[in-house]
Amino acid sequence: MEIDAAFFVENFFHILSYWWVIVPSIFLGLIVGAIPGFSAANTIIVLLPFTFVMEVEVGLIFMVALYCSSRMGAGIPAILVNIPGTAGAAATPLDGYPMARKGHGQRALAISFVSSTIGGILTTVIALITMPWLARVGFYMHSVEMVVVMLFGISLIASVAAKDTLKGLIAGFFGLMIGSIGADLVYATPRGTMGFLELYDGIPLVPALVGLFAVSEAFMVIEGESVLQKSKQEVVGKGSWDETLEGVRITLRRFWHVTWTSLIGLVIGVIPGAGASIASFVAYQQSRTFSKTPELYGTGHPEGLIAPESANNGVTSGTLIPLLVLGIPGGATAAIMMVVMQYQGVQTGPRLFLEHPELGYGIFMAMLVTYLLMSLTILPMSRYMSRVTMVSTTYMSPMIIGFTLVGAFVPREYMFDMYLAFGFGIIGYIARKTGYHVAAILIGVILGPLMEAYMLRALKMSDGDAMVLFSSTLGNILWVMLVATIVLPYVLQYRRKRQRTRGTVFESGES
Amino acid sequence: MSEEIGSDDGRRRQIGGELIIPVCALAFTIYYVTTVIDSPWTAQVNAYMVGAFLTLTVLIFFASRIRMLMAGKATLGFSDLLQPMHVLPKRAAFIGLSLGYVVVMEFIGFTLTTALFLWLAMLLLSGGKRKLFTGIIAVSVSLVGYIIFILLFETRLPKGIVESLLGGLF
Repeated sequence: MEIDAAFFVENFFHILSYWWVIVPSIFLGLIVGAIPGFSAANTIIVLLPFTFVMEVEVGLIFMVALYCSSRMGAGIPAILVNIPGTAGAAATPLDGYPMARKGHGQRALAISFVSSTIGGILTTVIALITMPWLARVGFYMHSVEMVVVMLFGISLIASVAAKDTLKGLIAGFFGLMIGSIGADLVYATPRGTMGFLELYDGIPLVPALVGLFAVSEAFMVIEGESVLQKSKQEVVGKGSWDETLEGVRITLRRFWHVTWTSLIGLVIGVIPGAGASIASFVAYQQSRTFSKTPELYGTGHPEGLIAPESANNGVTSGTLIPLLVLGIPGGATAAIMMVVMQYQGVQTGPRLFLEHPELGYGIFMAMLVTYLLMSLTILPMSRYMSRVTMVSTTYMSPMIIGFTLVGAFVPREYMFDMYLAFGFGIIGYIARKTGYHVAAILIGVILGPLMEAYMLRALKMSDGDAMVLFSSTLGNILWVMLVATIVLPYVLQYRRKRQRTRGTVFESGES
Repeated sequence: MSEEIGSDDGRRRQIGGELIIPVCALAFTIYYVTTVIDSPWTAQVNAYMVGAFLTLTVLIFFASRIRMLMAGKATLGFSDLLQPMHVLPKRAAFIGLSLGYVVVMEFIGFTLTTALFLWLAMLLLSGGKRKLFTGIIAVSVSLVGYIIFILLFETRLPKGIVESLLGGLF
């Protein structure tokens, strides 16, 4: 079979003919993505028997559509009620929620949907073109390089802590300490588990996420009538399509921003084991570093919302590359897809594109079609979804507690995880009331264990010699980039200050 | 509902609440170190590295707050944490109810506990208004929860009398 433009066009329309599978999967994905504790992976596992009896093509289209839409769905509660549906959306509320509180929830949703769609489509097209080269990224990223990638994410703590450095650092380091709970990776020595067997595997992410964001939010919002600032309730009440269009305009004007932050997601997605949470933190941090208005981040800045949303959707296409090209699943959902493909007798790896090119390329085409259909179906809903911010806290807070605590239970099915989420809720509440950033704690909890794992692997290989961290060329390039990323904002800030001072002197000299 | 704290609007800043997180962090670090003190270096490296930075940061923070106290700019009060005071009883009761929700669920099952929790919490937050309406919402939402979590996704949430009755129907 010849792989040319006609093949791709034909493949596109062929996949589009499966709209009846894609559209329901989009809505299912949006729902499971929005509920903390649920994800595309565990939904596909629940529905695995159905995928086995479906035709392999239909099954894969269903899984791809569910995967992409759940990524987008996770951002909806993150923006509207400060509750990220998954860890991949943990950076979304940093600017999405302040925007919603100002009465621009509809605009924030539109920004999120458009940047997710553009990010998803762009990375899918780039993945299609560059698949053979991108697949090799995983070979070059060893534990040493991954330590630096983790540090890129962790350095976001410093950005989050910009308002009060000491408190931000304390929150971040506290998160890293909490993230270290669990058995030691080499000898399985229990550390900081307080005697709880349930903590031997480390701190489960969903209860931490649910507690720090959702439960503490429920305790906070009862101070007001709704999550909206008082003066903004009337604005949302009136509602019009202008807000959606404004969101679309804002995102399209920042097309380049969407492009490069989604590329961060694509590259991080290709690395097996790395995921959407790392990608969105790194993208947010980089976006802030190179922004002309870094001081606006955290106050409802569109770029602070675009970066994580583009990046975590860029991850979706990235994760599938090692699976399809090398036969190595890059994440949980990709692993389940591999199981389904193998069950149906389809081998992943280089032979897939020789023996079943319509299937290999079709998966990426399904992604493309899903994002296109998603933008048509979900964008008009932003106006109505944003009304959630007007729901009285009398009803909102108990429902947040009820559903998210159950969400904490779902992944491992331990009652302990509900208590854990409640405990994190209390920590989150105290932190918010006393000026500590819960996002800084969460960054530590998510990235701490990953960082430790890569660090230990690197140190074990070198018999404990810390200089191994500077032993690879790619690693050293990344180190230089990391240092530049940390130092650059201060340099730029200094330059801007100087320019402003010069401007003032010049103006006063003229007058 | 504010995440900004401690403004010095003529009053002395109350820093008692601000000390809770660093004290917890320090106490946890000390406890953590005691659990790895006799372990191989692979188990210790993270604790010592992160713990050292955390301890240093907390000590600098304490020093800055002690300076504020000595200069008479702050007190050890907890008003930042507890304000607004008129919401305090409602909030304390809501937190208690939320904890009760998890505790009671183990004994009477997910659906009944959820309905009871939602109804009581909504009554608490609304000041006892619209009892029937909140009751209908509570029952409807808990039934939706039953359908999603127990029927569709077959999660092993605690089951009680309601689940047994509904299980006979579906």
